[in-house]
Amino acid sequence: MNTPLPATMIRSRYTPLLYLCAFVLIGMAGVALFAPWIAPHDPNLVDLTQKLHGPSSAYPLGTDQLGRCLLSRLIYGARISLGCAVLIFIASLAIGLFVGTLAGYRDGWVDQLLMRLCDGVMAFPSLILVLGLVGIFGPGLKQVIIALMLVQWVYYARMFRGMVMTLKTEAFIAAARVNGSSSWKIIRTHILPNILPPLLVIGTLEMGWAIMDISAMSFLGLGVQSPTAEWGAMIHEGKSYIRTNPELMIYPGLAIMLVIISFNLVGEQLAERFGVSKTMK
Amino acid sequence: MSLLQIDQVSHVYKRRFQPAKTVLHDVSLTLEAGRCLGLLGSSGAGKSTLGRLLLGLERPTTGTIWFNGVDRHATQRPFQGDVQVVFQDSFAAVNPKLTAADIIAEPLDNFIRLKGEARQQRLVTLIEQVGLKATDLTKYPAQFSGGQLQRIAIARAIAAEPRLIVLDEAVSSLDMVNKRLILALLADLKRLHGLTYVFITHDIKAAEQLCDSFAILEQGRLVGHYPSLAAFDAATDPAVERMRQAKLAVHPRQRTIRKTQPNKG
Repeated sequence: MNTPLPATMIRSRYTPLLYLCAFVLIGMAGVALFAPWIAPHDPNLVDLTQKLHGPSSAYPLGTDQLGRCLLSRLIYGARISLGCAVLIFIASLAIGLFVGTLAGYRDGWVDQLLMRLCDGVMAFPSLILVLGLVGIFGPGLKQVIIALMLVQWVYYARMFRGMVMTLKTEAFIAAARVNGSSSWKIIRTHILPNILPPLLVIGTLEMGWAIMDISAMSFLGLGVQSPTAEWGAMIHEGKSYIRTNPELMIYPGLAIMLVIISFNLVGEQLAERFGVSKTMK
Repeated sequence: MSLLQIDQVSHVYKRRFQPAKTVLHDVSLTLEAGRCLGLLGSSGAGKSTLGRLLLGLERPTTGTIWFNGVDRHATQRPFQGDVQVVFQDSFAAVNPKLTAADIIAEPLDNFIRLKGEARQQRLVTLIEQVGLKATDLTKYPAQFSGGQLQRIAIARAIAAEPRLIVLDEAVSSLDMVNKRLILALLADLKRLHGLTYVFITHDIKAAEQLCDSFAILEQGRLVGHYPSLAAFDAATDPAVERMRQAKLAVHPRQRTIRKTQPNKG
């Protein structure tokens, strides 16, 4: 069964699950964007008379230990989790794309220098490195974002370097040089358009990781600080009530799971579609 | 003065963890304008390396390549559009994300800088000269066959009005019908534009059809140089004989391999 499937059959492999996942992601993005209009309550409004209530018409998912609306906190939490993931992704991608393209296109000492730098960063497990950096910068969302960015870009740089080096040996790059195109024009018109599809795939898969990392940092108390609503931080705050009110941890946990699964499934389908290897670490 | 003068060119590839490999040893050749030099040799003989040196993609380790009286590698920017290339694998030689118009326009935009209507008119002329239609300009490489795509690569090569075109195994990947058609097209374009060709190939028949002088490379050394087709055909030295033996017999009965096998039929 090695014969390639006709295009129509490949298309039919887009399962309903993929549409569901895409719907979840678009829905989450919508919720994050329009949080102030959707949330029934102020996520930080403390009302101790209403603490640890079950679901009711006023509080659809109930309240937490300080009487804050859980649904509103989840909705506002999507803002930070998704927003920061996008920010980390774009920033580390931009650095990685720049460094990787430079190293791959101009081999020699430029390549050596940049890649040894990447090796240095990659020599540490990334979580430990992020923890170390946050230890230096001090806890806080901004510091966590910067730390994650400083660690993530090396993986992009490595990947783009490899792709650029492979592309560089293609005959059409040699033809472009013979045809008088400058290095910048070759990168812009011949290299970047050909590494874009894999970029889309990796981006989708990495977004899931970024959300996980931010939540993990917040759960450890290093990222988002109280009282800001963020999924990881909500799990952190709810863990004291795990025996009596497990929903304090279950709802944000479910939200994280749903988003990461959706990103991964969409990414995997795109990887199959574009024939891209799914791992970069 | 010759258009092209290759003067004692040697080329060494430095390799990591392995001894350096000398791929060209003291090659000297001259080529007059308007002629076609067939550069023959088996794989690894250094033909394509010599082609890359002519194009300016690499600089020779020692020796000089004089093009039109100028040292080709004396400047940092050897790419002035006067030497162009057609590669073997037409699918690899064009960017899959660009349309035929974008592909052909690349040298035009870099060297001639036409604008608007004149540019479009020139593209139409070029694509029609290589036997395709103006409507093909908006198509992507995946929509063409290998032969059609090779025509687009040829259109790109002639777009900036070069003087010399390096045909690096330009017909070796094509089927017999397309091979003949493309060779005929190349011969026509050579007359039309007054071009000079360096035709790199291992296909002695294709070379005989297009070329009027011949050089044979073996393991990086020039082992034979014949200024005319008659001289090449009359040559009896071992290098030429080896090239001749490498071609398949025209008639099946002449296949010597069959004679040694028992006839099962």
